[in-house]
Parts: sequence; structure tokens; C-alpha cells
Amino acid sequence: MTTALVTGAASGLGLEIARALLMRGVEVILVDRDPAVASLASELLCECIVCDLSTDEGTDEVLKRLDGSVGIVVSNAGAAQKGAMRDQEPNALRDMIGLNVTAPALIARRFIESTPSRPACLVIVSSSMAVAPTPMLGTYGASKSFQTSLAEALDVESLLGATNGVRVLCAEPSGMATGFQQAAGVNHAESRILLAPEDVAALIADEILSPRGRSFLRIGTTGKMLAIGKRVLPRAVFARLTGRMLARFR
Amino acid sequence: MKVLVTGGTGFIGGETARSLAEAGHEVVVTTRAADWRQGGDMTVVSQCDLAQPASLALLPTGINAVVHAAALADFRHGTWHDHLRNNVGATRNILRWAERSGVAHLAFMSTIGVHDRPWGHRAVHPLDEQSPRHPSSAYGRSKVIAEDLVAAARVPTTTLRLSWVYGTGMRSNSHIRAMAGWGATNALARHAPVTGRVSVIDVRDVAAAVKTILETGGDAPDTGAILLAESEPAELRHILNPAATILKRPAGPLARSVAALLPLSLRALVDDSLVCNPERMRMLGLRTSHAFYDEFPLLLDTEGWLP
Repeated sequence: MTTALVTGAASGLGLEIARALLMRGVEVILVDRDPAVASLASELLCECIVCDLSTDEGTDEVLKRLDGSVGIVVSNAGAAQKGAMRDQEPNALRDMIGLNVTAPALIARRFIESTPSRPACLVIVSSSMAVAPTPMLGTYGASKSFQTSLAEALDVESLLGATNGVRVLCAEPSGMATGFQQAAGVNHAESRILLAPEDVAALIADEILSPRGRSFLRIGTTGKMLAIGKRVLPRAVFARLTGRMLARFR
Repeated sequence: MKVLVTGGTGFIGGETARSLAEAGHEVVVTTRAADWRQGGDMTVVSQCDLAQPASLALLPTGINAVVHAAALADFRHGTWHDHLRNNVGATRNILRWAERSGVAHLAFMSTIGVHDRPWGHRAVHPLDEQSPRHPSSAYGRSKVIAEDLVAAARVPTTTLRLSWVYGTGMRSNSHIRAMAGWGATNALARHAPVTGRVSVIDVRDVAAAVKTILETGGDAPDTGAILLAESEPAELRHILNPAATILKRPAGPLARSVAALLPLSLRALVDDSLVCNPERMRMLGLRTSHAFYDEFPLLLDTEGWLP
């Protein structure tokens, strides 16, 4: 039986991905820093690890669990801190980069090294914001660009046979109606363009288990429009246009 | 023996629950309905949606065996998500519960539909338990995942792949009832030169097989998958048109080679693609005591299916 490890699984997209995988007959290990994940795990009859991936000790706990028996890793945990760069708390910034950048890279490395059992799929949940500059959420957008870039690099590595058989899937969902928006202090909740996290989770879960196995999933109209804009507009125009637009949303 | 029958208010689960209760077992049935009052002396757990793990708390203790017959088979309106939720999610929950509560055996109701062959697959017949699993419907695909979960569970299990089931209390969307209704209202369907055959089984024989498995194989390790069918398949033209008297016309080579290109729903009409060889069932001592051609006319008379 396949086991999947899902980070950031106490709420939002992570929880929905965990549910969608359970519904497809995959055993799930829920990882989150929110202690509520323990009661969720007992409710869903699955394993959990309560740890903070923005810290080294927390990340190590997850790395230890990736011992080859875990066949799917969904690197989904992420956070954002609203505000201009000059107002950011240095420690909060460091934690955020730890969670969004360091942890996914270390988890990916360990997962590949563990020579996982089939379907051996690494999912990196990036964001549609990976393609555009995100004023007032600068480090967040940058960390998402890092994740997309990492996933694409690993995907090519898998084609070159350098990933011990691990397949890499990068998911770039557009904004979803989850607690993430509130946690980041983003004034976005009333927007009608938000996707339902359970729909996004179903798409990702089906793609993980699909034998066709695509390596990139861009979900939602916002993300698709941004991606097209990035290709057709000059760099400076795209950056100013989308940057101002996104800043107004917040 | 104390037996839990999930979906025990349905067609197959209901017959199984009744037959187990008649044989003197203590039967507990689950249903999603709020109040179901035809339980007789069976214990009824209502409002029990097994896809929600919280429902497991409603199940009684001291259960020796489980018959997992609860499932969704909605070929018209059921989405992939609905089938996953009710057929895979619920199966996972009941398995985890069975592992925790020390159940001695779990019988899982699957379907011959896991052996469907989608477009372009050559029909291999008759089917047996080792035939490849290529489901073509969302229902069949969800049952394949559920079968794998059942096989991997840490309780002894038996997977029963039922062929087309007929009997009193059939649902309106049961294959046989739907086809009989189609034939009754559609002259083209009634008189089409249909040469296909399907394996069938009486619901009472299904219930008897489950009873035998639970009574004899209670502590045995996994029995694996068993196809349940009568040795004599039914001809589709007789389901479409019970009065058909045309001599049997075996499908010619042309019909057979064209058949491989058809989706299963059409191919089954000219081909024996849903006929299985119930060898393993016989070997395990499971008998059928009803025959389709004796029972079908009675059902047509008494059940009032036909418009």
C-alpha cells in the first residue's frame, strides 16, 4: 500500500490533498506545526507528525520519516507575511524562508535519496504567484519562484535518470478560499475568483496517481493569464502591470 | 456469530443480512437513512455514513465478521468523486475499524465490472479471477482501488466479484432490470440480433456464498478474489425479450473483430465479454441452487418492473 506524506496538512489545500489521497486508497501522514493536526489524524484514522518545518529540528523529524516506505511526498506547507520589506521582522522573514525554501529543498533531497517505493512522486505545491512579482508579499512570491524552478529542475533530472525513479510534479494553483489568505493578512477573501481547495486537491491527487503523469499543473484562470502575460509582454511592462494589479488586490 | 453487514438495507446486503439472521447469527446492519424500520430482529445502525470516519463510533463492539456491501453504483449521474468517496473512502474506514476491533473475517462485495475492457482491448473469455483488471466505468475503477485496499488489510478477507445479480427487490438501475425495461419499451432493442451473453447469479446464491465463507472460513487467512456466477450464462436477447424464440446465432468472425473496437456497453451485446468461468467458486464449495432461466420469468411476473 502506498503512503503519502503531506506537509501543511492541518488546514487548507494540504488537508484537502490529504483527504483526496485517503479517498483514493493512499495512506497519509499529516505533517503540520499546528497541534490540531493530531486530532485531525485520529479523526481521519491516519498517522501524523507535529513539527515546525521553519526550524531545523522540525525538518529533521520529517526527514527521518522519509525512509523509503513513503511513496509520495506533497511539499505543501507555506506561509506569507504581508507588508513592505522595510517593515518585516528579520526573524519572521528567516522563518518564512526556512519554511518555503529550505524545508522543501531538504525534503526533496531526502525523498530522492530514500529511493522511495512506487509511485515515487514528489509534489511541490507552488503558486500562480511564482511567475509575477508580488509587491507587499515580496519574499513569498520569490520563494514560490524558487519552488517552481526547483521542481522544473528536478523534473529534468528525473528525465536524465538522476532522481532514483522519483517523478516530480509541480502544482501552481491560483488563489484559493483557504485560511492562508487571512493568515497572511491578505484582503482577498471576498474575491470571486478564488478556487475551492477541494477541487484543486482532487486535480492534484488524480495527477499524482495517473499513469500518464504530467510534470506541471497550472490550476485556475488567474495563473494561466499571468503565465501568458509573462510570455507576451516585455519584462518591465509585465512586472509593473501585474505588480500594481496584485498590490491593489491586497 | 455476530456479523456486521454494511449496506444491509440494500438489494444484495439486505438479502445477505436476512439470510444470516435466518441462520441464527446476530446481525447488525448499517444504513445512511435516518430511520429504517424493516430490520426485524436485526440491530440497525442508522445515519451511519461510512465515508465519514466519525460514523465508526456508532458501530457496536464484539463483531466477529463483516460483510461490506455498502457501495455506490450510479452509472448515470455518479461522478468520480462520489464513487471514490463511497466505495474507496468508506472501504478504507471500515477496514481500519475491522483491524482495530479484532474482526475475524471480512467479505467484500466487488463486481465483475473490474474486468471490463475499455476501447481496443481484445475480449478474453471466459474471465477468471486472474484476468486483467481493466475497468471502464468510474464504479469499476473505484472498486479496483477498494479491492487493493481489502487485499492489503491486516484482517483475513474475501473479495467476491459478483456477476450480474438478479432477484426480488432489484434496484431500478440494476443491469438486468434496466435491460428488461429497455427491451419492453423499445422494439428495436427487443428484436435486435443480439448474440452476447453475460454471467448472472441469483441474489439468494450470493447470500448463501457469503454465509458459507463466513461460517467455514472464519479464521482462515485471505481467500482472495472469487467470481460468483452461475455456470450457465444468460443470453442478453432473452433479457431484452423474454419471449425470444430465435435460434442462437453465434457471433461471426466479422462481428467479433468489430466488437473489439466498441465500448464495452455495446460490445457485450454481440460478444461473451462478461462471461466468467466460476471454477474457483466451485472449488471452494460454493454452490448455486437457482438458475436464471427458472427465476427470470417469475421475477418478470411478480416484480412489476415492466411498464
